Amino acid sequence: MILDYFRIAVSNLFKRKLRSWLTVIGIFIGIMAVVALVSLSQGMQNAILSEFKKMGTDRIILTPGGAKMGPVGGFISSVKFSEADYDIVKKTKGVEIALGVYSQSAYLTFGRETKQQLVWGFPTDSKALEFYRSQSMFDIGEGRFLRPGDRYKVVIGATVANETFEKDIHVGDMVMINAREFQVIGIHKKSGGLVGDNVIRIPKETAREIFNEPSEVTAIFMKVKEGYNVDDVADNVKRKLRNFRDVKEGEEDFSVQTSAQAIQTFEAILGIVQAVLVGIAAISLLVGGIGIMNTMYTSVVERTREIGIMKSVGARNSAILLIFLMESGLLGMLGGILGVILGLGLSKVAEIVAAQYGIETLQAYTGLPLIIGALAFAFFIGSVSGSLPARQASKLSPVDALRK
Amino acid sequence: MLADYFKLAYGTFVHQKKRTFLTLIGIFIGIAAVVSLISLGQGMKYEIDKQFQALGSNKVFVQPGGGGFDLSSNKLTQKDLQAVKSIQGVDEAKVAVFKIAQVKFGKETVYTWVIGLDTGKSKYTLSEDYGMKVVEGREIADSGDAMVGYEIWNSGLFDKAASIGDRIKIEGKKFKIVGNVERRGNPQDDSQIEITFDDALDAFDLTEDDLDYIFVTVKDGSRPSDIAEKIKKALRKTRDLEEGDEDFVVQTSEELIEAFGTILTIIQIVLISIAGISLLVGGVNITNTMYTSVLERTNEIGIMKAIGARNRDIFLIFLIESGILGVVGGVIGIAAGIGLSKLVAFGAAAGGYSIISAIFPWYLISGALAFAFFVGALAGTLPAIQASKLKPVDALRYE
Repeated sequence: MILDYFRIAVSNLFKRKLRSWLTVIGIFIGIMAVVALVSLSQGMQNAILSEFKKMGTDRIILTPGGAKMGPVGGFISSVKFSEADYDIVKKTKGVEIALGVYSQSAYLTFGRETKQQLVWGFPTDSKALEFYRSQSMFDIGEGRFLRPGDRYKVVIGATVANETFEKDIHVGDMVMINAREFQVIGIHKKSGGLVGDNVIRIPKETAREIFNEPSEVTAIFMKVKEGYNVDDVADNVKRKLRNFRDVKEGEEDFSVQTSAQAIQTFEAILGIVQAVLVGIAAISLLVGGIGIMNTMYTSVVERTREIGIMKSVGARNSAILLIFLMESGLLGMLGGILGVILGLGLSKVAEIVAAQYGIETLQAYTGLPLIIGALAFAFFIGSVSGSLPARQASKLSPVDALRK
Repeated sequence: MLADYFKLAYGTFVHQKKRTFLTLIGIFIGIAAVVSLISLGQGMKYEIDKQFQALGSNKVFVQPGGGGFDLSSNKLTQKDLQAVKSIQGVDEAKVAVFKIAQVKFGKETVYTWVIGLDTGKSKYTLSEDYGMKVVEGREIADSGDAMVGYEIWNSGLFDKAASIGDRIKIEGKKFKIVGNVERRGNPQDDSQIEITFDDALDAFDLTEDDLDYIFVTVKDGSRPSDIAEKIKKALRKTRDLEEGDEDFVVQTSEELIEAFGTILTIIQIVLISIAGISLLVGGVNITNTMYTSVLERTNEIGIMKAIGARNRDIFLIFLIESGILGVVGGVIGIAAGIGLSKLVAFGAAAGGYSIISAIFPWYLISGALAFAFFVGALAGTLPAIQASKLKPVDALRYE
């Protein structure tokens, strides 16, 4: 029975081929745009999130300046941390390891070229080193990482080694940081991330010497001990630091962010961008839906007599309704299939083009939820737009319909 | 003759009310989206231009690092300042330092940008030097004076609105509010506080060689772009850098406006082209409607041809019909687009972003209308050609 309705619907679509195609085009364009945009933004989100997750979800980052400032607080805030704050944090319960780093922008000279770069002073005690070994972001591609006792040695990211200067930097080369000689002892593995490949790491003690800064700490990174709740530890750190710095709750001159919070912030921002773009693209789906409605109304008018005959030989209202609904649902579905294929193709092309330009975070997401969601949505639009015309068709009185 | 074509088209619309209406909706939605996006984008551009113009086109800005609020702790020094001042054609060079600082007002504590401005001897007011116009009270002049942005004198940053004469604490030091700065239209800029340069050095523990910005006023008769080049050359010398390795940015106000304009234009192009997809779909709808119309009126076309209508006449009848669909959709779309963008601008202003405003220049309205007609006519061309090429005998025989 249902199969018969389906056959009627299909044959009707074939009878008016041109009209059917034009209607399908209307839907397919919209689905294509939405699918391509969702695919790209979802892919980008996944790529960045996996970089976040590589760092681990048991991390806390502590920066000076109010809560609104976020991770750049250490650079722009008038408030600074000192080694004393770092000591307090280190001793907080639940903190497995805390790294107080000091960062300054400096002149990096290689050969005859000089570039301005951010230089990071990292602690090189044995506990810190053990921690670096467990972190993929500290992975060394060539040479070795800093070790206790190193002075005036530097480890650089892949981009600094291969792109920053005209000539490539190799392990063993000498570079100048603020006119002091440093030996390059290691080059990090390429991570594909913007920050990771641009780092310049030197021992913190050496940084204190060349920048003549005895105590300032730019930021403190923490790893939470196993078995402790990250949020609880963050609260502990906050409370201890409040006491030490003598500030009231809610008036902290520093911010404590867990990795989960950082991910949330990032997701929220990307979510807004995605909603705006997809929202605007979805307007074309609305217009495509109106096209389906139009086609279906025309179809009902043209087939008034046919409806009359079907009703007079016993077709119920529900049967007529179903025939027309199927017809419009098929239109939507067909547009959806074409749209999904072309939309995914489009985003794949974008991914390949972006990769050519070295942008690796622009990736096409081609997951099943997107494909199924888009198809279901296309079918939904088709049936919704067809429902009014279908109702009209089903309510025709057979006598009037036959007389037409 | 032409009037007859219009009458014919009108007749069809009335005859097929529902179909005409749905086709119109298709076009109107797309036009409304495009019009409101352009209107808001242009409005924002206009507001930004206005702010720069208030500052004057005879300005050159010097910043350390890569520009913007750069993270590098790189600074400009007194030596740099002297080098800039000694350039011929430089009328005046004023410095500024920026920091995010702890600010207390009443019982509330917040962290916001505090800017130290040079209030020393000058031919010009601070508003002319830095483009910070005081709308109430006076400009800062002495130690302890502070000017505050809109979000502070109109509540927003603090629960209570601050007024002239109120005391605030910056980094633990007491200041008196002496002036309210004109609203800039975005919450970050409107939350700024300005104090004197010496107070800023004192409060933030900075030296005279920790400059974040130099605002240069160019003498009448000198071209800002020439002066900018001279400044670059002078600073390369004082900072001992080769060309191409600059660790500072020199921009004229024109270049700054352009930089903003370029970013804004890119965003606009992306959004409008995505919105434009719906216009394409609307156009396909018109094509569809017109094909249906041609099919339904095959007999009519046959009769018209039999009594002497030329191919051209038939073509025009159908083209005018689809063109009218486009134009009417465009008119409704423009009206809806204006309403929509006004609504968005109103909402944004309520949220502190008065910089997002809607403007409707004549070229937007006429352009949108012309485009809507173009979409309609183009979409109708194929069906109209098909109609005009029908053979009268076949058309009359068609059932």
